[in-house]
Amino acid sequence: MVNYTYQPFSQLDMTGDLMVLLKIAWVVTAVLAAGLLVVLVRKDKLESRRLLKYLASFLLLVYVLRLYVHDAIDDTFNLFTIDIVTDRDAFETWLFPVGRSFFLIVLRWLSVTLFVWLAVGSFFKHRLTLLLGGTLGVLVSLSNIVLYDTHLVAFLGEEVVSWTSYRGLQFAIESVLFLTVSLFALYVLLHEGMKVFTWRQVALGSVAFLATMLAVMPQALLYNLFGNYGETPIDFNGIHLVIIAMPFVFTIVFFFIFRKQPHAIKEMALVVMVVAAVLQYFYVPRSGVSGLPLHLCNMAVILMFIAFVFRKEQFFYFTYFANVIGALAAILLPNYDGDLNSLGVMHFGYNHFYAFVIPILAVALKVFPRPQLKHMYQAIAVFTVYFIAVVFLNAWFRNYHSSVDYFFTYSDHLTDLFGARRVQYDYQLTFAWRDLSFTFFPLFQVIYYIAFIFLMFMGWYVYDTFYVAFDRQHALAQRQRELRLSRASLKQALAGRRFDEPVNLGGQNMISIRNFSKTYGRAAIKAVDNFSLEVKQGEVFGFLGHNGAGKSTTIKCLVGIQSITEGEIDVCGYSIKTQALYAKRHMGYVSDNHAMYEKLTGREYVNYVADLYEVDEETRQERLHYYLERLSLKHAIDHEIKSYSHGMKQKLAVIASLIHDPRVWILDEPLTGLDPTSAYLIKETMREHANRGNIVFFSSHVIEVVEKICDRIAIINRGQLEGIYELDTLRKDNIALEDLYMHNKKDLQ
Amino acid sequence: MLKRLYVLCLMQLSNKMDLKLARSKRFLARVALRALVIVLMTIVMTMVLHVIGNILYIPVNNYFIIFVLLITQGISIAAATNGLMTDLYKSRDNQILHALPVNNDEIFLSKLIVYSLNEFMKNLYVLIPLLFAFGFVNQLHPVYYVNMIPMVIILPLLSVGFAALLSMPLSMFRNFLSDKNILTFILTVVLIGVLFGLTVTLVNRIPTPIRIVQLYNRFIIQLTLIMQSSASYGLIYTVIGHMLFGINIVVNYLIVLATLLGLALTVMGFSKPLYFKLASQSQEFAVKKIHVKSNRREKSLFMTFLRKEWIIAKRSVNQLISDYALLIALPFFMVVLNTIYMGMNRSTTGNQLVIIFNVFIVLLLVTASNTASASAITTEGSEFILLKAAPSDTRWMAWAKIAFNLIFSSLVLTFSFLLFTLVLPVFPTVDIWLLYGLVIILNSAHIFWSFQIDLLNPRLSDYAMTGSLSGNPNIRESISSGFVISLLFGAISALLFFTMRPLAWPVLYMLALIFAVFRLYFFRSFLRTYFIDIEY
Repeated sequence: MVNYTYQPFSQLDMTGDLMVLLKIAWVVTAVLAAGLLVVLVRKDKLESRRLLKYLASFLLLVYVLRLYVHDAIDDTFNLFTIDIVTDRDAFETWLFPVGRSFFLIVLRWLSVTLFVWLAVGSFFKHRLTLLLGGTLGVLVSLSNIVLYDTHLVAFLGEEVVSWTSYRGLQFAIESVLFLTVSLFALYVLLHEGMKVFTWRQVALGSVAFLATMLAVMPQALLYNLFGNYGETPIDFNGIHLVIIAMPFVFTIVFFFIFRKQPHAIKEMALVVMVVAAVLQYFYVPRSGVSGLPLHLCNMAVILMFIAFVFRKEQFFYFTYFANVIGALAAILLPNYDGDLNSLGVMHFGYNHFYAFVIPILAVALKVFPRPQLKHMYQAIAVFTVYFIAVVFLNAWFRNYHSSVDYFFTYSDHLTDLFGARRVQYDYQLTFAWRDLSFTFFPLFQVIYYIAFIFLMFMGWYVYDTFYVAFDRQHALAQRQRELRLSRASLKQALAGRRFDEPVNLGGQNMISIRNFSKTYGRAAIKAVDNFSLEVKQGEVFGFLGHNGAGKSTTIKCLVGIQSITEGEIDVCGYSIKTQALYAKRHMGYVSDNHAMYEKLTGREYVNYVADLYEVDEETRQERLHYYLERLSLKHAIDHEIKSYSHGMKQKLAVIASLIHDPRVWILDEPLTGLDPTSAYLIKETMREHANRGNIVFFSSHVIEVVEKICDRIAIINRGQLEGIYELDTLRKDNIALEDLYMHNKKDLQ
Repeated sequence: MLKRLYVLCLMQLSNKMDLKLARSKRFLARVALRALVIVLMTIVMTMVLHVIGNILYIPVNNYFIIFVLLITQGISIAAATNGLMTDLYKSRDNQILHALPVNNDEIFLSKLIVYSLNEFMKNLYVLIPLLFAFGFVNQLHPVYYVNMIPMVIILPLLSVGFAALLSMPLSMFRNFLSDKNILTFILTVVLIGVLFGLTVTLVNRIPTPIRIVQLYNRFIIQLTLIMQSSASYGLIYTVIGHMLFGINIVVNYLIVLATLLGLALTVMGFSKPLYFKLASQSQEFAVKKIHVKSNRREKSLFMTFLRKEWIIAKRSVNQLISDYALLIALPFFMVVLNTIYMGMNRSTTGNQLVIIFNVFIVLLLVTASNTASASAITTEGSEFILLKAAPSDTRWMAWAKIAFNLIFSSLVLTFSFLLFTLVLPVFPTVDIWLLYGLVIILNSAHIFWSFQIDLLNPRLSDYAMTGSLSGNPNIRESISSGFVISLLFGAISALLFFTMRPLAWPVLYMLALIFAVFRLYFFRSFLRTYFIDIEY
């Protein structure tokens, strides 16, 4: 414990006047240095932004070097005397009175925050960062210079300190550099063109600054101000649960705040976090081999820094797949033993918090591209090398330092946790080389390795689940937007008419296909290409083509089973694209595979279809009776459909498609595989339906059938319309349909 | 004949796997990856056997391997019998294969070869690592590893042979029941009832209070005795076990080969008169069931679809039982596990653990039985055309199917929990019914989720062509999502019951409700947006 009573400058090795002169000299030096830089920039000797990057980075480095030495003020305990439980005399630990101590602690905190802002802000062309960083930087650096001697006491906690000592010189250089960089940052801002910021922007900038302060908060701060919290966050107690929830909540909140921000802002925010993570790592003084950053999450902060600053994707994906898992495991099962406010717990919390949230946010905010499975395999390979290395290094360095335990591969922390110490100690392998001894725990270490790889795969599963979920949400929102647009364009096309009125008033009694094309998936060839056709009231229209010519595709698009790639199809004036439901009301369809629910009876099936077409009971009774008689299916109507023959199924499909008396009746290969009687009955039904002023549109490759019952035909070949012909004209010109079909005589049209 | 057999096998194999891959560069990568998986599995199995031998003190000797072979091969035979009953006699490709100029025997044999190959591939990841691990743990002679290689080929052949033999009478019985729905239903209920009664009687014979440590020694002794005595009844598997250990190698090899040959001849002998008959019976439209009804219009589309679902379910009892097999098995698991839990002397933590295990296990079984929802649109197959062509809001079919699945699964759950309350009066009734409510909510959420999975990726054409759901990725996804839900809520309940017991149930309910509302919202959004985009 420091037994120090605060005494003013008189205790320093110089008089007050000399100190004042020295401080004035430093300020002048900083101003002159900044002025010199400005002159060099103005004479085009140096590039302002690049210079600022170097200077600000150097300032940060100077600060990091300071962290390698312990500061006496960090031992201050319970400045606000909040903690009255801990049996410790707080006053004894104070270097200064409360107000001065608090001011100094805050000043040091502000300084480090500004170092980060100036360094990161110099790499990103975000003017507000530089404005706030530069302005506050001038104020804080001047304060540091004014309170230089107080700072020195805070560093060393001694009554007599010299400005020519290592700490004294280091802080002098840091303070002068700080002021120079801040002034130069303001110049760079002016040089690049100052703009007026709104109050909202300034407010947001201030919030961001406060957030950065939290990100780089000195780990001793809570202990300094409030003493102990009284609880260790461990074993899923209340405070531990809060700490577990924090990274998840933070990730979600951060994501929603930044997801719509420009890429540079997202990147800058993450770089601030990365730099803060490095600082948090160095806040704990490190020495010896056990201080090397070879613990997985310690290594994470260094790797993330390299990944972000030098844009190294391989480094990043390792942290994404390995460190996140490690950090989560550490947060859930921590290995500390101390009060929440203690340096150890704070350090543990910050380190694992950053190792967990930064990689996830970087991918979520698209600062780094979403990884593929191969990236995880690469991460596994790197992890394997890392694991072997730490196993070996632990065995080796244990000869020098008994606390070396990188990634817990040596100590019994994990086996103890899971009550499996025997797994570790019953299977040891020890050998000596010269005066060194090497101990390995093969069974434990192999199990540990496999378990971690398993967790990495689990991690991939979780990531992949989230990717899929996000992609689906994105696609959903896009599709909903498309549907809204489609409805809006329909509304516009209807020009004030109701949605159930036909969009194409001129085509109310016809089928109209205009420039229709269909492509399946990403196929290079169109199944149907630029097809146009009109079929009028009272016609039996035949659609001829060989297998795979595009008949069924056209029909499926016509009845709304498949989407239309290009062009328009209207049925009775209704667009099949935008008014599908209304168009379908006027259509009856017999598919080529007579798809039916085979466990239903014929009657149940027809009733099911009639319900879909909203046919009332009386009408369906009447029509069913009529068609059952006409198609001779009455005897089987109460049998399950699975007992029907092909012809019976086709007849049932015909009845079901006519139950609502459609104005347009579409049949796909209706006569294939039918016996002559059934074929005759269906042909007769088709003719009769057309004679009542309806349209019958059917596809076939049976020329005789088409020739016999059609008024007009269209021939399609390889997705393209070959021609439309009137059967009467062909007969008059003595042209056999078979010849026409076989020889493809276009000129006869 | 051999050439025809070769072509038939190739035809079926190309339908089941990507044969082009064998000629591509990726083939080597895939082989390497599989080899790596086998190595990893071997390491894991070695550790497991080590734990069994040195920590659980169960002797890992030749009796152990015979016992394990008996169990694994028994399961394999059961699974293969079930698979072959479809593949041999009900597969849709039968119509094509029987039309080809080949003998029925050749078709039969080709199907068995293809099935054996698949079994062999499956065994790669279990049998080989297990046998290797066994060799390592017992530090066996290299002869063991040499003997292992033919066994890896022979074992799948044996299980497929036995399964082929069993599949014939079972298919006959199934065909007999196919048009007797009421008889099937009654037989199923009776069977379940008898099994349940038997289970309850058996578990009640466990002496209480159950003391794990004391019972453990007894258990180990009993198990060792069972393993030893099973070797006497292990028949061919005992011979294989002995052979692996180098006992009478020549004689045992001859016995195994003779058995295999005898089995092959018996199968072929029985199949000659039966195979075509059984296979063609599945394709015949001989069933003429009459259901006389009047023409009636339903009040709403929802009712139209619900009625259709009801009629189809009523007439496909076998399918319904198969879809909800796990759910039907739920009372068994609950009663067995909880009788054991209740038989133990438990601390407060123990009581909490019982609830946590129940949350996890019940959710696991219940969510795994939502396969009908995960294939609801797919199983419409080509019939989906009708919905696409209809001029009405056919999205109601989704709600009807969901309502049907919800009602059915809730009924089974209610029945299960009632049984649970009656059979285990010692279990706190409040906790039983709180668990029931939680499971109902989460099961509903999972039904929405499963349906959404199928909605976004329906396999209509695949189903229309094959009539089978085997290998359906949506079902796989639904089961894994169910596993995640179970794991998540198991973990949350563990956390809650250990850290804030009085608030555990309210918080669990709140989370379950939030999850269910979240799933319902997304299901509704996806249904409204994507249903119209589904194409056949």
